[in-house]
Order: sequence, then C-alpha cells, then structure tokens
Amino acid sequence: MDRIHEVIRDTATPSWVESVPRNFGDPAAGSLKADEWRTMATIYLPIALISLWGEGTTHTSPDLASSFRQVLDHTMDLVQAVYLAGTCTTTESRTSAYRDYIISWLSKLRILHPTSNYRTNFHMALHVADFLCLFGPVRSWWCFPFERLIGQLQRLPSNSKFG
Amino acid sequence: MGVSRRMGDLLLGLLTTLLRAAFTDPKKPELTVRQQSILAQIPRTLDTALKKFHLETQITTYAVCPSCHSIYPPVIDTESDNPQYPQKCTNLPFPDSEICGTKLLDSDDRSKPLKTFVYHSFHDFLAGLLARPDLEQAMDNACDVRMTSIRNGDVSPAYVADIFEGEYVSTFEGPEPGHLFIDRPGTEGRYLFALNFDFFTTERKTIRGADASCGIISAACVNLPLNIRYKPENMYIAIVPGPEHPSLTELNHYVRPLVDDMSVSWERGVKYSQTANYPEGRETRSAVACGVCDLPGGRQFSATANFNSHHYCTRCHCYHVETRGRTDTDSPDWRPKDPVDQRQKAEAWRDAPSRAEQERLFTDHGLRWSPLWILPYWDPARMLVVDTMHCLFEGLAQYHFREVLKLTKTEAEAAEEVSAAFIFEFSIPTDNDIIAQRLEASDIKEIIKIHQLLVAVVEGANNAEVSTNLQKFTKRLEGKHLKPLQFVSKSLQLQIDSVGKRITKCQYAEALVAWVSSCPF
Repeated sequence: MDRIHEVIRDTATPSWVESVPRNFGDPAAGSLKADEWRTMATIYLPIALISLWGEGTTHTSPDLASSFRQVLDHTMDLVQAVYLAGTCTTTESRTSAYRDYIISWLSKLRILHPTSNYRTNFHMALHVADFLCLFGPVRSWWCFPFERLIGQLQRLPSNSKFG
Repeated sequence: MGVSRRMGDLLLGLLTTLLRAAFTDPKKPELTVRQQSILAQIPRTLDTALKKFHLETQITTYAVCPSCHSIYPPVIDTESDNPQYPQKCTNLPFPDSEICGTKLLDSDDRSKPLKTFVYHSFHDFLAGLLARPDLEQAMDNACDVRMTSIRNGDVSPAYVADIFEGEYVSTFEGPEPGHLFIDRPGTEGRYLFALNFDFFTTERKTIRGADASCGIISAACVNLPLNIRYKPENMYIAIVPGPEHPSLTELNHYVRPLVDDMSVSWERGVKYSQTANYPEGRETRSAVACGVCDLPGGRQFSATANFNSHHYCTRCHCYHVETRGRTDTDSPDWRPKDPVDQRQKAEAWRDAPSRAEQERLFTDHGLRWSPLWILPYWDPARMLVVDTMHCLFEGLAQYHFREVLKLTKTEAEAAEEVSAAFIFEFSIPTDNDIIAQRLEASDIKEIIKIHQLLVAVVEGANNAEVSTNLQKFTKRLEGKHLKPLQFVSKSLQLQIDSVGKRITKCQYAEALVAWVSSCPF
C-alpha cells in the first residue's frame, strides 16, 4: 500500500489526467469513481505493482517471486484491456487484442484466485468487443455524459420537497 | 442564464423599477407617453416573455396513476381551456387482473392530478436543435461525409474515430429497404440518437442512504460532433417521477410517448415548416442508434431479465448463471440473438391471456414486452450496448483491485502475515506459568505474536540493509508488553545483565534480537 501511495504522490501526470485520492484504499477516501478507477488501473497501479512484483525485484523465495509474477501478469491482462477499451480510435486489431486480453484474464481468474466468483460483468466485458466493432470508440457510447447530466440535475437547487 | 422562473420574474420587476427611476425627472413627475409605453411593453412575468418570443417548450403533462404507473394524457376542455383528466385509473396491470381503479385526482382540487409526468415533445426538442444554423449544418454534414466515403468504397475504415464510422451506421438500413439510413434523399434530414435510461437520487447521496430517486430518460444526437454532443442544452431529457422506482414493465408507460414520437418520425417523417438553414421547411426522420445504460437500467429499459438471472445476457444465447465465466467465444452460443425471434417472444408475452402464462413465458425466454419493440428496427442484441464505464472501469477494474488483489487499507493492515524463515519449538505458557506470572489472555496472544516475529524473515540485500531492518525489528519487539517479553526471554533461558534494579523492555528486545542473530538458520 505504501508503494502505491508513493507512486500516486510522485508520478508526474499531464494535466488532463484527473487526480485520484492520495489515500487510495483508505476507507476515508471513499469509493472511487469510474474515471478514477480508469486512471488507477492504467497509470498508478501498473507502475506500483511492476516495481513491487516485476522483473528485478527480490523476494525471499523463488516460489513467492513466481507466484507474484503470475498475479502481476494476470493483472496486466486487465490493465491492457482497460487501456485498449479507452482509446480514442478503434481498429480491428485493437478490438481483437482487447478480446484476447479479457479472455486471458477471465480464464486465469479462477486458477490464480480460487475464491473469486464470476459476475455478469465479466461476460458483458467480452461483448464490449462486439460493440467496439459496431459503434467504434467507446467515448461515443459510454455513460459518462449521461451521468454528468444527472450530476448537473442533482446540483440544481430544490426546496427538498418531492413532486 | 440558468435562473428559475421566480428569479426571472424578480429580474423583470427590478428592470421595470430601475427604468421608472431613470425616467423620472425630479422637476417633472409625469412620464412622457413614450416612456410609459416602454414600461408597459416590459412583460410582468417570464411566462409572458417566453410567449412573446415563442420560446415555450411544447410539453404534455400526463396524470400518473400512483399505484400502477399508467399515464393519462390531458383532454383540453374547449370551454375553460383547462386540462381534464379521468377520475380513476382504468389500466389492467395484468391481463387477467381487475381494473386498477386508483384515484388519479386530488380530492380537494378536482383538476389537479396526484402525480404527474411531464413529457417534453421529442419533435419540439429536435426543432430546437434545427433552429440553430451551426447545429443543423453539423448534423447534416455527419451523414453526408460518411455517405461520400462509403460511396468511394471506404466501407470499414481502418481507424474508427466516431460512431458514424462504425459498422452499425454503415449497415443500418433506413425506412426504404436497400438504402442506408444516413443516405438522405434530397433535403431530408436523417438523425440518429443515443438513448439513456438511469435512476438517480434527487437529493444526492447521503450517509443515511438514498430515499427518493427519479428515473431519467435522456437522448443525445450522435450526428453532432463529440465536443458539443453532450452539452446539456443539446440533450433531450424526460424525468420519470419518483420517489419509488416503477417496477418491471411499469416503466413502459413512461417510455411509450417518446417511442411513439420516434415511431412517427421513422414511418412518416416529421416536416418542420421552417428551420435555420431551410426557410421553406424540410422533412426529417430520426431513429434510435443505441441504448446506453448500465446493466440494471438497461435491463429494465428493454424489459429483459435481470442481469443476475439465468438469462443474463441480452446479446447472446449463453444461459444459466453458472456459465458466466465461459470464454469459448467460438461456440454457437455466442452468436447474437435474432431480433425477429425476440420480437415474436416479446409479443407473445404481451398477448398472453393471464399473468401465470406471462410468467411462464418470461421464465422460458427472459423477456417481457417493451414499447421499444414498436420501433421496427429495434434489436437489443445490437443496439443495447454494454456500458464500458460501468462494466470495465467500475466493474472489472474495481473488482480486480479491491476484491481479488485486496488493495485496501483495512486489508493491508489485517493481512500482515509474517512468513517464517525457520521453525522453532517455543514453549507455550502452561497453566502454572499463567498463575505464577499473572498473565492475562492478551499477554498470551502477545507471546504468540512475539514467537511469530522471532522466526520472521529479516530481509535485506546487504549488511547495511539487514542492520536497519534489525533495528526496526527491535523497535517492534519493544512495542510489546513487559510480561510477555519477560516470559519469552525466560523460556529461551537468555542471560540478561541488569543495569539497574529492573530489566527494561529495551533490554529484553535486544537480548531477543541477539538470540535471533545467533540462531544457526
């Protein structure tokens, strides 16, 4: 955790990258928003986890090192998928790469983490690839603008009376 | 400006007062005729101002049944010009049930419905967009640019930058078979919309939890370029009144007016008498390109089975919750559902004679009737998209990092498992020890913790690192209580030279560290 906090504090990010809570993981930080998860998953966590578990790190036993490495590779499958899904333009090769990463992530999930449960989202994530083909990049068909509209409506002053 | 009606009325009032004060000449208290006419022209209320400039939006206020959510359009009484609503709800919630019969109107004020649903006419909204020359130009341009590139043979571009370059738009046939929707005949406008449905809490999220929540149906015109597409003034909004969620197909009542408008627009087209770029008027046709919702919202919007049911996917034939982890995408189960077949199933549900029959059909097919089926092109397998924001960012990423890798502070503190470097048989306090040294339950727990610490791995690449880690280690031992430290040292028969009368915790800790360092492992 300390390493993650260090990475969040020390990484220089371009200004268009939204900031994430510095006390990530703390109950006081609250739950992260979708965009914050995206930033965490594509920038901070890969840096932190690779520096902890990746090539060139030392662990007490080779077994531990290789199991960390497997978990890291598995995590990177998801990181790649999230990155590919968020690109501004789509191509056929990116879409098929996305599909492969999700399949690889999903098939290794139960092997590496036997206690995890499958959720509908996992299945739907595979279909995201189909919709990438049909509609192009996600920014023209994701919920962000609609959710933002809801945020604006919520901020409208009201007299707290319903109806 | 974003001011409310009351504030607008106040501003108009203030303007009148200011002008009157400016016009008044101390020597001549009477205003001239010209000044009086200027003052008289300023409207008293904002409503009058909007009416003067024909800026009112065309809205229909439906009466809503408070128990079954069916909606009733107003009947305008020609004499009084007041909207009239039926007294009681005449809806059949289920084909074989009794008439709902709930009172719709306020018992004091007979003309006022208890609950209302304000529907903003979709045609009026589109007219608003077309009244701006830049928007109208951009919306038509999107169709023309894509059509030109398709005619030039560039059907599937290598880099897809927007929805219009995607496969869906390039294959979506318009009302005339054989012609693409975006292939607009003559001056006719062809517009595609992304529909969204979601619930939200009106009072924002509080610690006490959400009580009142509303539904929202919104739409954005995907013909517009991305940078202005989602501006609030360019989006269509209809609010589904709360405070409770309409359940299952009850939402259908609220979706119906919008779908009816869309259906008219598809089949007949809507002719506007005047738009910004076409003073003589023009025909337009609009269609839904995709439904963008999160999983629960999307399922209710399209009246399909809940995402935790066996029919968990709206796109493919995968069935049963236990199969949600399957990755064999080459299997025939992964082919998209057929819209013709789906439509038949939805119609069968609608026309079923009894509630039991409807339930049976639903269990088999996992879908109910939704007004969206009125649209001849509705195909949930292709048009109901999986929202990436909810599914990937909030779903998979959150799940992976929080639940699987357990990257949270509480987990980090709880899971401070120390891995053992060697095994040593420590002596555990016996009953005699406990009585003799007056050890408490917490002391015994600490003794076990100290045992774990003593065999723990002391990491470090070189001597300097090892020694700093050993120092940290000593500090951690010092943090324990005196009695447990005493017990462990005694059980290991460590010799400690007492400087003063009593042996300090610090000394115990140092002795224990010395013992660890001297261990042959």
